[in-house]
Amino acid sequence: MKISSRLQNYISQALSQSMEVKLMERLAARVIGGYDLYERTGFPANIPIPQGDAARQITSDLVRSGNIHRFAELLVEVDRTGVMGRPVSIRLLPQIVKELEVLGYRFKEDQGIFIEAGALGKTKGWGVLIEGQTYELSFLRIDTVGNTELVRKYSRRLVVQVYNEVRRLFTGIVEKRDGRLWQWEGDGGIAAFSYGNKNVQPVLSGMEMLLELFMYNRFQCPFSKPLQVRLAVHTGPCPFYEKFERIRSDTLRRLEVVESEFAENDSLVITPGVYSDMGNKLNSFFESLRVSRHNLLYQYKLRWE
Amino acid sequence: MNILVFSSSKKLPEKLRLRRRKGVVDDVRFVGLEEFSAVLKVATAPTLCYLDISAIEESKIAGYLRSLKKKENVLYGIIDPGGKIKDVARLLHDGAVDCINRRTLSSGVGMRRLTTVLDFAQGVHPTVLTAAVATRTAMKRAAYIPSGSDWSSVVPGGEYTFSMMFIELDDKDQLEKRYGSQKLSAALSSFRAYIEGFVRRFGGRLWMWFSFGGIVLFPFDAKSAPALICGFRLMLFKHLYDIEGSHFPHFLSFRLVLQIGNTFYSEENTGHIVSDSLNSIFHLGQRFVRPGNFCVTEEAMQFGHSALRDFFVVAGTFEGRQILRMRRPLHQHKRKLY
Repeated sequence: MKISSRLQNYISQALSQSMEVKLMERLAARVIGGYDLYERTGFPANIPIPQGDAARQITSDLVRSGNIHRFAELLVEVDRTGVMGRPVSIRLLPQIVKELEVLGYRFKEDQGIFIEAGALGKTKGWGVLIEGQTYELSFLRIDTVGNTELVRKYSRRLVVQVYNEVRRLFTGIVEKRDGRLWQWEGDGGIAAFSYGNKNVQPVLSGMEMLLELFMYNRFQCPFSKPLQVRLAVHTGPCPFYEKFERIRSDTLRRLEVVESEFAENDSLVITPGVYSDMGNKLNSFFESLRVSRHNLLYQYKLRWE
Repeated sequence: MNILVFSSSKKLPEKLRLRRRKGVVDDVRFVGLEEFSAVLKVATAPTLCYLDISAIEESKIAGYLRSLKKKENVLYGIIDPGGKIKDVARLLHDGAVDCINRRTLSSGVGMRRLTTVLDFAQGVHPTVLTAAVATRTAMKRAAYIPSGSDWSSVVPGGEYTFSMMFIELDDKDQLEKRYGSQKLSAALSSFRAYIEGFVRRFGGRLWMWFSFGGIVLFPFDAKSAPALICGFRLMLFKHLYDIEGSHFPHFLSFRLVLQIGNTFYSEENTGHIVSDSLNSIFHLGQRFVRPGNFCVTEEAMQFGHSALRDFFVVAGTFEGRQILRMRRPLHQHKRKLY
């Protein structure tokens, strides 16, 4: 992510004009773990750091760590709710937000986060993730049932047409909830979610995909039998690489096992870590599946009266 | 009625001499045999299909005929210039409505034969829904004044036939008690905005709105009623709205009704409009439909997409009309949260 010098300037000024050095350091530490301003600036511990120097140092460290937009989110939060019950008014906040929007981000008011607006294209890492770093992410995997038979039974042109339509549907549903398609391989793919409620979003996307596919089968699918899919959601740490083939992740391996071994046709299966974040309303859509003595999964399936 | 001819022969269109004619044939299409399944599957309007069997292996003909027979809203005939069909009478007994042999083909199949075929279909197979005939009958019965396929020809002050949708939240009294007027008002506004946005995608306009529901109008062209799909989707996707969009903390329940009806169209003072159709849809929605259900008059169902027919069951009769009810999608596995 390229950060304009104007944005750096605004953040630096906002810090120096809105708070003391101690608070600046504390806020920086919430974005960059273990942040020590004295260590970064090289000032001796017994000499107070001037506000301007502190603000400039923090800003440049934030830019280097690729966390400037996260820090901007934090500034918005501090401006709204204060710190430890004390109100803190952040100066130049509108200019900071506007400058981030110029850089291709939009501020999601409800979630208080900046996210890639998409006008300049959508990237797999939301324009934020850094190549090679590991993040806590949630994933939704979709796979078409009986791909081999479909390829044998129908012409290549028809199969490709249907898979493209499924991909278009899937991508639309995922991106609507700020997810990103990380991989698509013919008859299925994987989408990643990082923002908002990152466990709820892929689950809702999976449920919507099942419903949309139901409609697609009724009205558009040219196959003689309905197209069936299996879906699974899992969450966990995963390194980020633009090239999906470079990613080695136990989370993605587990996701594949859950989808291929435990998901029934036309169902969505989620793992316990995801289920625990669903809340009462969404929980009620899932029934538990005992897959071994100690392991449970949760399944959603559309049924009719 | 649409005509769909499946054939590998390039000369066939010339020989058949079929063309569009207002009130009888809306569309004539020639399609290759390789696209038989794909095209037949998405054929929605009432269609008369002709299958040219000259290029089909004899062992496979039965399979093609089965597909045609199974398809709702489709009548079918055979084009058999090679004389492969030995028992034409049996073909007709099995549901075909026409069989064109070499001699008939050489003299051409014109509109006169087509009219005879349609009359035959209606007479011999009265249970087979020839929706084109049903449409004509219905048009005579209801004296439709089609409002068109979109809003471009609808002028305030004029009387038109619309697809009318009634929508109302269930448990009105409980909602008021549970949330208090201020919270309720915000939640209801958001529900209204959701409905307004949802129906707009299907060409619908929220025409009247009372606190807990209202009437949506969809232009009606006397050929199809996409509003049926709109209502179906509203019911199918309702639970996603409950979780993502609704301001109510519990799962909502609402009733939907779809009917075809006439009314004077006005953009202002809609509360003063007097219309039998409006009265009847309110009666139907408030007195007949049970909470959480979507009901459709049989007349509206005739114009809806046939792919949805299996998802409706007969709910009973109301004011002399047969009413169908959508089977409810069962998303939840646990008790509802209230």
